[in-house]
Amino acid sequence: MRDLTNNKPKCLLPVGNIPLIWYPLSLLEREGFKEVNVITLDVQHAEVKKAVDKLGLKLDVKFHTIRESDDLGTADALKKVAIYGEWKEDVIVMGCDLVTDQSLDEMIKLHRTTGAGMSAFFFPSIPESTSVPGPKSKIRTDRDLVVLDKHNRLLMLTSAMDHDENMSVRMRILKKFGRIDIKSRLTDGHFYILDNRVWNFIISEENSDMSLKGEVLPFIIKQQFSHLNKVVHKESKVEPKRLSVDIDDEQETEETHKFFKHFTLDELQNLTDLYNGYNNHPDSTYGRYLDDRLRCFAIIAPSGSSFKVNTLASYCEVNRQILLAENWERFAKSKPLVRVDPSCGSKTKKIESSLVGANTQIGEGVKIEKCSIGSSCIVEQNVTLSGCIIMDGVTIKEGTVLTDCLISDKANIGTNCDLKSCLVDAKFSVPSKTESSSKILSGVLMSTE
Amino acid sequence: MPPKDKEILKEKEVLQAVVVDDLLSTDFPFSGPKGLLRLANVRLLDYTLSCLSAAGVEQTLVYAAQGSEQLQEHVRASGWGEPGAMAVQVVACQGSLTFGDLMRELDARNAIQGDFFLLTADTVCTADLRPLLLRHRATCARDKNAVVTLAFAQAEPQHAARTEPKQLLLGTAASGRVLAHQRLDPDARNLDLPLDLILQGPGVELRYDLSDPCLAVCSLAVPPIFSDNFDFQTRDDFVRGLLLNEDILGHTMYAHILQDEYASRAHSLPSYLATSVDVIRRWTFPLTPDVSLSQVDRGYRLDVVFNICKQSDVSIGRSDVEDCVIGEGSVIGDNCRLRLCVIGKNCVIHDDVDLCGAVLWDQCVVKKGFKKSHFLAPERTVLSKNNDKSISVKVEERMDSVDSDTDSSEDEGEAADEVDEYENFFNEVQDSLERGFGEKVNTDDLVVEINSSRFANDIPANEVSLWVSKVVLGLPAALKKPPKDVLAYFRPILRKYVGKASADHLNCLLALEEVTAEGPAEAAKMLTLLYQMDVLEEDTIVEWFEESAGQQLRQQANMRKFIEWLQTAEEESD
Repeated sequence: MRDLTNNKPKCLLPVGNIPLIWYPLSLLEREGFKEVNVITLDVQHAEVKKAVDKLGLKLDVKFHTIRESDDLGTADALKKVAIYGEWKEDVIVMGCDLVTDQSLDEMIKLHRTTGAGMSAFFFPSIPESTSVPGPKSKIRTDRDLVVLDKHNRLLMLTSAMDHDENMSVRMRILKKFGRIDIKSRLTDGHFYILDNRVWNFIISEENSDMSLKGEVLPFIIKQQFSHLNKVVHKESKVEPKRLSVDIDDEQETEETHKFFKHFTLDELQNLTDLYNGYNNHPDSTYGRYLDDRLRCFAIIAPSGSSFKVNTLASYCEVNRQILLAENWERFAKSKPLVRVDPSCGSKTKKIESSLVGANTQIGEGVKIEKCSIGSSCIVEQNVTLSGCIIMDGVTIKEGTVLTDCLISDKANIGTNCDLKSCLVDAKFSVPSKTESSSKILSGVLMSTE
Repeated sequence: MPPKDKEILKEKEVLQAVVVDDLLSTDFPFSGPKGLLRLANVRLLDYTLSCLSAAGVEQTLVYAAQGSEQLQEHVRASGWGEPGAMAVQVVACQGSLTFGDLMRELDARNAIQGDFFLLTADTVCTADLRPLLLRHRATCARDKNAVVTLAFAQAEPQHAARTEPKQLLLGTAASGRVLAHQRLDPDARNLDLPLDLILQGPGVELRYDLSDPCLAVCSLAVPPIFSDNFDFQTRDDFVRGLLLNEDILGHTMYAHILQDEYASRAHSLPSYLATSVDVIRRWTFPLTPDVSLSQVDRGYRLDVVFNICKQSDVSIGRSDVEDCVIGEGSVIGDNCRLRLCVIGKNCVIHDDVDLCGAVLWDQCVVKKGFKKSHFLAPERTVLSKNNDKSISVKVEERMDSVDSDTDSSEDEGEAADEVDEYENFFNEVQDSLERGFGEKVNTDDLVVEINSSRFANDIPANEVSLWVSKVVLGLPAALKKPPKDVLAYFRPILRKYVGKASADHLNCLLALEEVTAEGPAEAAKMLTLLYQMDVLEEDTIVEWFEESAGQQLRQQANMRKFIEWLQTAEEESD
């Protein structure tokens, strides 16, 4: 992914010829949000703002910038921009790289029915065999290990990289839940619905962790098993008893106490719990939700419904998928599908299942199949393109054949080239008659040669 | 009949089942084969055979490690093998001791024709086994390496049926394939799973909510696996061996979870008692005594109001009896309270007896006023307050489950026993010390005597000091001698048993308080003596006086004087 984001902020990479950030923003707009806070790096602010303004969204988009040099984690960044003080409502935190056809409304409903402190959004990962332009890397991608109970309660969230040979599961979790599921093929959509109490903890001074995914969320998930996490009724003002002495309890840090300080006694909620006949664990001796105050849930989308565009593989896959009319319908609901922009000067009729952006010139005898081509490109005569992603301002000279390639902005490809599964860097000129496959063609490399 | 059932019937081969009757746990005071052990007054084998018969099994092979003649006789008498019934063949395997041995014997005899049910004689299961067989066949069609489908019943972690000290953890893939099988140490904090196991597929489902009834469907390939691996002794060895050597042996296993059906195993005393309760409470219906599982143990009638299953000739006095199974000719007296009990044939229960969760085999006698819960009394046992030969189970082994009812009632039962032992110990020690003082016996010899009666009565080490102090401090009054002489003589004994631990010192002070309860005036005198003889230390005495000494002692002028003196002495020495 680095090869693409060197020259362009990730959120502006085109997916189906629209900048990536349009997908989450339009999702929010569709579901009735009026205001969105976007956090960007200061160096990218101007570029992103310009692009977002062009998208024509009705949303009020507020930008917040953080300094690139500070190298902040997500949690830190949230703290910087939490200008409103304590919030009374739940908060959604999401990355700019989520493309999904799932209904936000449904997710929020699920979050509210379960009374979750945090709901995280997951979907099945794209298969590892997905083809990617550039050299075949043998580095195994990191996987999230997601531990769920049978009601999709989120019990653990770690990364396979954090473990050596064994993954360790606490017996307490097993004893409490009886049946747990460890999933290794789910992708975290970086879409979290946070209860305002959890949110207020994250933005408070007491939270010293920097990374949201790596530190803060695992900490919150772990607090579900703290002995402080018991429903306390007004009648019994006694501190909840510890059933057995557990080392984990002894090690329970001040942080746990600080965390639960945000979970003040909610009398109305307690009454609701007390008089509610519903119990999602009818076989157990516990009350509903096992008498826990804080509970984290996972929302799991079906396969193929969502993409997290943070790897080259998923970027290529989502671009491939969105070319199908029915997928376009799903992911870009509000935007009508325009295959070839009317402003194009196209002299060929052989364009199949592709997208062509504005002001792109296409010469005679060109064959285009399953490609997305950006705006202001020039495709000369007798070029054959198949399965390619071509960004803006690219020039492809005559007679060239490109298969499954990814061509960045303003690249220049000479005559009679034959490239397969190659990645061409921005503003790079590929000499004429180059034949290559599974390579990265980049200016940096050329200069070292 | 659904079409799936027809498929089974169409099979040309005979549907077989193998019942392994391995050696009974030594918990049980029973020398016969496992299958003839009685669960709620009905032989275990009849539960197993009824279940197999209901599943349409045509031939059942019982591989018996011992008592095959008795088994054969029972099978004949109970009507198995009669025309129209399932054929049952008992195979004697002399010299075979374990599950593995019997499976090797099975392989040697080459008696298996195809897929077969494999279970132990102590399996009690009401589930329909046909879906299990169909599932196994479907799995084998999909995965050529599949050899076994293991059946498990559901039991949440707090479930009463979970009697095993080491509980089962099963890891399965989405297809039901078994990836991990462990018995977890109850004290373990963490469970370590190999990362490869998790990453090789879309994930692992960990099941800690299962109980293992030792029931499976096996393919033809299973008996030879036992022959090839001589170290497989139990079924767990087999399962673990297959998992461990999956690369070499190339066999796979699948798990089938029985939904909402009863399946358990009565292989140890706790599980036997738990299963008894399940039978009484009729979770195992239709496998209950009143259904006449065989022609031997029959004639039970159910009293629906109080859930009492009894044979003829049972006489119950004016007693509170509920949820019981009572055998022929038993007599229950007046004013008794019986709950969840199994009572064998010709038992006599006298008045004022209180039993809960008890299992009495034939011809037991329970004497008046006996009170106990959760135990097994073998045949012809006579139970009375002073003579209790029953075998109890400690329920406390169960993890977190807080079952206050059973725990507290059991404690009462134990407390009653302990009193007897302590009295014995006290009397024995008093006798030997009185004699020792009279005859001037060497105190070392007295120590030997005390120790032997301590072990005979099973007195915990931390309580010895209390009882010995009680005896010694009580002696001056008993012998009518001045305390100074008596204590001086027994000083070595006190020094030995009271020792240096502060808990023992407190015990000694407690004994002092108890002994001098009637004449508090003596207390100060004796305390002074004990202090002077270096048996007790000033710190402990002061601490005890301020924190735990009784009101009577506090008001004693002498006592207060002594304590004050001690305190000043302490300050001076500081």
